[in-house]
Amino acid sequence: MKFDVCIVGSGAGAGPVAYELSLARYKVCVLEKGPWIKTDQFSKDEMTATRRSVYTPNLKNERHVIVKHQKDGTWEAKSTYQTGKDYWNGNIVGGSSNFMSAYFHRLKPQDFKLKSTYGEIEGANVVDWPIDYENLEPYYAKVESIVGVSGKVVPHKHLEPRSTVDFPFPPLQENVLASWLDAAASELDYEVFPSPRGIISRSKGNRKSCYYSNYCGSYGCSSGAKSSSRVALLNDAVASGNCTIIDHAKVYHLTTDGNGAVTEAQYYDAEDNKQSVSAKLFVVAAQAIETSRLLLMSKNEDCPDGLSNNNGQVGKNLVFSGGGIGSGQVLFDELNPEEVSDIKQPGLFINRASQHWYEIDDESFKKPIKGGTIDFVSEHANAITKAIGQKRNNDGSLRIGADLKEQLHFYFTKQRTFKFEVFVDWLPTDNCRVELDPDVTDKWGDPVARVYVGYHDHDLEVGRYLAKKGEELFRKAGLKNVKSSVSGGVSPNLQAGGCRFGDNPKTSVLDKNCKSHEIDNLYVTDGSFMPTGGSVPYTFTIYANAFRVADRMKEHLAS
Amino acid sequence: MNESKKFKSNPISRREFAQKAALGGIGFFVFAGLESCGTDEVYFVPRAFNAKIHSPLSLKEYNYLARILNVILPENGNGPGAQQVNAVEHICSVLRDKRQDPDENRLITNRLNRFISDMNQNAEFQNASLKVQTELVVAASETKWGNYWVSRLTTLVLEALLLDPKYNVNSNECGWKWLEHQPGSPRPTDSRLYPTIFETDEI
Repeated sequence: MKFDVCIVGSGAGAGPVAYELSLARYKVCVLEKGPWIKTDQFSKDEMTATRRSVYTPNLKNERHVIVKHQKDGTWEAKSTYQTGKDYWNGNIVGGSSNFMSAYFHRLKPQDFKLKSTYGEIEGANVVDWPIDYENLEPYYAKVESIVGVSGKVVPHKHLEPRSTVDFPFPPLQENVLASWLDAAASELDYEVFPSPRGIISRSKGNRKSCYYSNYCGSYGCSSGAKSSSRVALLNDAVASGNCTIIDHAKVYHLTTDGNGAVTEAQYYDAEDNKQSVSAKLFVVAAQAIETSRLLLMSKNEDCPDGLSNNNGQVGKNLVFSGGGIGSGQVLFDELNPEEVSDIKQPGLFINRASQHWYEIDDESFKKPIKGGTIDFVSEHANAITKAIGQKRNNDGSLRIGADLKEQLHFYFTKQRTFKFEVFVDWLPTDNCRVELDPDVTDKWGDPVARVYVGYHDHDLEVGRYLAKKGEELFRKAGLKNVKSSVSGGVSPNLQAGGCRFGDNPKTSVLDKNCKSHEIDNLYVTDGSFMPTGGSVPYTFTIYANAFRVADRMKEHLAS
Repeated sequence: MNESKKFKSNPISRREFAQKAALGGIGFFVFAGLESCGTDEVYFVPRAFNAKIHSPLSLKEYNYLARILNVILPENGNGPGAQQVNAVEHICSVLRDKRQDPDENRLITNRLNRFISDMNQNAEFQNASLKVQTELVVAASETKWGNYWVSRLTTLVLEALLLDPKYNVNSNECGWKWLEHQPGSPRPTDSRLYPTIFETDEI
């Protein structure tokens, strides 16, 4: 059977395309390398969620090679099998959207025009997007409604223009710490607002509302409240009768016909047999690193450097969302019993963010610069992860015996730790990119992705500025032992770029509709298209853009 | 500093050990794997070795590892100890797990045998008091070869303390109760525990 559309991947970049096109009665095939796990099969088991590789490949079989810049100026390559730091983020139907924490901030108008708004930054490959915020705004609204976003719009100086008054789902219930932060922000004259979340606060179709399980990020949702591509979009796509999901399908090559068109997606099935799917249009949405890898692996006589890579742009300008983290403690011996009971309430969200410094106009910088977002969050409930964090003393020595037990008991029963996460623009540079590793292969013998994770010092300067603001707010709110850390270390679960879109084929892989400049029936709809990432997590924008591209694909198929 | 020399410089002398062991040899007060002689000395006695449960460890390896884990998480009146949460059995299941990194698992047993080898040159670790055993494990943890090893063992002990009791650890939720930890819901069903979950159709 020849499908109208074949989609490689099933996460946030794939779901909107599958949903829109199958509901428009086009025949869609989704190829997902992992298994298809249903909502009622997830549990809050720390072992399967975070302690072992269950929803991600075994690193012995499939790894990445990560190349890091060293203090002495050299670059050092180590595989993730060596380091144990995983760059897979959820290889099941629905992809990593099953396991996201779902902080859903929109980009802002200046994020689409970073270069023309703030100017060049030496050493960074900053460019404007080929579309404006106005082009994407209707699709943000669509995501809020169809995929499901909860929150409350509160005016602040960097609130982006909206076509709707408020979010379609009311805010989730909050821990008392949110009110402490509100009061502290008011005293400091800082703006904070309720964080929008891709978690629904009341039922929608077959999806139940959030039940405040206290185990959200890194865990599959057991009620369907989390707005994963699987529950929010793919289930409806399959129910239309026009969408076929093939799980355990690891795509390793896209075949072209020599006339500028992809004809087949070739994949290994669950038994490692080679299979293929034919379609009129192909979409790659395998998450940024793997998308670039697949295009590079698909080289042939017509495309000797890989698909859509005649100008050597595939894999370039990879970006990660991040910037720093901070923490502070609420010590129970400083509270009355009622306050302790309130602060210990499990499952309730902090859901506060600040974009007060989304643009920084401060004398410590020569001119106004792009700032970012601070999200204030609870420490994850994962017990083992928390306990492991207590293994070492401040001097790095191991806590053993009675000392370890005393620290564990204190940490779990006498305090609560709260955190903040800083998001700045991870400036695209020549030092952050994806290539094919010349030596290391996966279990099928295909080259793995070799990922350079360099960063720009400007990211750290902005990160430190915002982290100080986060610290000030925590201290004013009464938290103790407040600290923060800003580094060039990447968050592997928040990746974009590598196939940036643009008007110039020499400097971009995709056109403004995320169609390959070189191959007429090939689209990329995950975060790979983003030339810059904004100062927020990417998932909301990936969803919105994939809905936008789906409309262009409908026009393409109709023509 | 030569790490081996550094490690060997800390342990008690054979004579000192003999004195402590002799002191501990009379008037034991037995309490859940612990024995006390009425002084502040505490001695730990592991459960009997069971080849079926404790493979791939040898009897000797088991006797050392059980005591080392008790040093890391002793049964000292402040919460459960390593034996109560079945830490050594948990590590055995990790060592048997073919999905685990074989290098990591080899490291556990190789360095356990290095520890055993070093102990045999000093004193009978197995019969030493908890205090002395703690000094020896701390000394090992301060070496280059021992630091990661003890850290890895600690991680696995903490897993045994806080994983779902369905994994035959955290007996009667003793770890959760001690740390007032509230597990998430739903809890895993038997068929969806690791590694059984890989036998289900969809994984």
